[in-house]
Amino acid sequence: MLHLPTLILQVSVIIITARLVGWAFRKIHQPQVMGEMVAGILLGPSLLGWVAPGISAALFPVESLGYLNALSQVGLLLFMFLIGLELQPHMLRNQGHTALVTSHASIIAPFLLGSSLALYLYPRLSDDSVTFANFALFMGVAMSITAFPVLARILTERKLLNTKVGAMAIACAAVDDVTGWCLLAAVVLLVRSTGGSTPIWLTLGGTAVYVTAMLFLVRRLITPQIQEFAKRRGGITHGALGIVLVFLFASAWITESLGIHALFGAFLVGVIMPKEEGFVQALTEKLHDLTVVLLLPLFFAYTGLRTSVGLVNGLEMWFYCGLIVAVAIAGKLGGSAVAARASGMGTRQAWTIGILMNTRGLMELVLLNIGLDIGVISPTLFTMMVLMALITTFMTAPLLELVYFRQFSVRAWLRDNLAALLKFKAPPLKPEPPDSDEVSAAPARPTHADASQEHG
Amino acid sequence: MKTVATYIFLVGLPVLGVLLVLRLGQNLTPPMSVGGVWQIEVPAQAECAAEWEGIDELTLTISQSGPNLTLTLDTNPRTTLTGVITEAQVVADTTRAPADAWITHLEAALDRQPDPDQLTGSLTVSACSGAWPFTATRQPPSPAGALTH
Repeated sequence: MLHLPTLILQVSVIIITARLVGWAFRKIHQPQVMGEMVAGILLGPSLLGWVAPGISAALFPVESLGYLNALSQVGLLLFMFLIGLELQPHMLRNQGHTALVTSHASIIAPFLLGSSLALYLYPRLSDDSVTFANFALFMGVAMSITAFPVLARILTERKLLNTKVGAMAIACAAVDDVTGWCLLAAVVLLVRSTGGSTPIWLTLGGTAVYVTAMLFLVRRLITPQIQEFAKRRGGITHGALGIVLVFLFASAWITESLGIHALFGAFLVGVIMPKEEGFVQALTEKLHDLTVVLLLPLFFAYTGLRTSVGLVNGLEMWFYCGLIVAVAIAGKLGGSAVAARASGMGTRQAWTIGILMNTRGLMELVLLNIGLDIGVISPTLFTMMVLMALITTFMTAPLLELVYFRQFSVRAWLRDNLAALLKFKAPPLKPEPPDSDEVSAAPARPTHADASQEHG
Repeated sequence: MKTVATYIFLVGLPVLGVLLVLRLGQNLTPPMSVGGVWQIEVPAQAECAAEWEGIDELTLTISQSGPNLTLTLDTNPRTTLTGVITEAQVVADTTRAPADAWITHLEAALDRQPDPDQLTGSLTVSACSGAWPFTATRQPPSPAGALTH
């Protein structure tokens, strides 16, 4: 039974912690979302439950977590709708050869490494309730996801969006996002079809019919009517917003009933919404703040309550965790960088693409929670993967600063340090050619002034 | 032409690699699954009657990661055990000092019934000598997933 005072207290504590830790992370030039993710972990068994188990048990009694989860799921539905809304079709279309190769390679390289890692981890961190194919496919998807929204915000804030690197990164992230969610839908479908209540033919057929209807019928016939309705009323009125929300939740209900996840329905509605700038902006403004300030921190807290760093105990477990982090970075950062370089980009730009694509953020947490819910990963592996998501998100800002803005070069660094070590005067290196393919003349220094809207 | 070759090398080959990995993984044998919530029926027990007074049923929660297990009875920290599953045999010991623990040792064998699974074995209670036999039945998973709270 709902104990309202407990829920109100939980929400208050979560918001305060999220804002405080988010603020602290912004001080060290990290995105707000990074701090909020960490705040969730701090409220869970990894810190609060460990140092003050009594307070933790009183604040987050097990029987109350269902309500917290329900609220956080509503937040995720709204968030996934906003992600879909932000996706512009031109990001996917006007790519050119370099972006095509880079975006596809930036998905398949980490996917291959993730599924290869599954060969090693499956007997060590899984059990026979999960088939190898499901486990490997999930690991592949988890390694290949990119946080499109946080990437977009980093690029905007650092004035990189109009550079070739920025345009390439945003195109690749958009492709990654769509592909990643489709792959995850396939994995959820596979897992649920083994022992699920919905027959596989119904899920497959229903999903195909539903997606086709949404993309080719609803997008052309219904969503323009919503935009028109909003225009006639002079903006997104309460009535127009109500229609959009009903549409969103109906779609989520259908995809959940079909056996794939409710989040796909919400995402799909966002994707097919009209992309006229004023409409998107007005709709985003109506939903964004409540989602980001109130509901997403609840999701982070719920994720934190399921994350117990104590489960990663002993050298062996920390070795697996380190391996996961290393493979995630090698696959996404390395894979994207190699693909960009092979497609003709400069070395520094290629590494920058890799660094940006390696940002996993909130999207990874969403995916991991689905994996834990459907039982394809264990709580221990979930914790390791959450740590991987935190590390890869955390490293983006400093690496970007180092490689892109300070023009750090491994070759120059090795040359300088080896010369100092061997005490000889090294001849100057031939300078790297300037980035003539930049759209803007020179990248602007980051301001870090307002990162309050960074979520992804 | 160069783009096509690059695409085949960077995308086509890894796709084949994924297919190969999926094929190789078919031969892997993971540990048996014992993770989840189990209901233990408490039988009449002459030796440790005082220990079990007033308790009819116990909930055994097993968190599994590969062969490694963490077991807790009725979410009581004094009953937390860590152990491993080898084939169908579960062996676990307390993480606490024996004097501070209620349950110190558990040994059980997993019996894969068509439905439901059963775990049959014995528990060692710190306060009394001898092992206490038990049979546990696996409960259906909760829709919200496992919480590690």
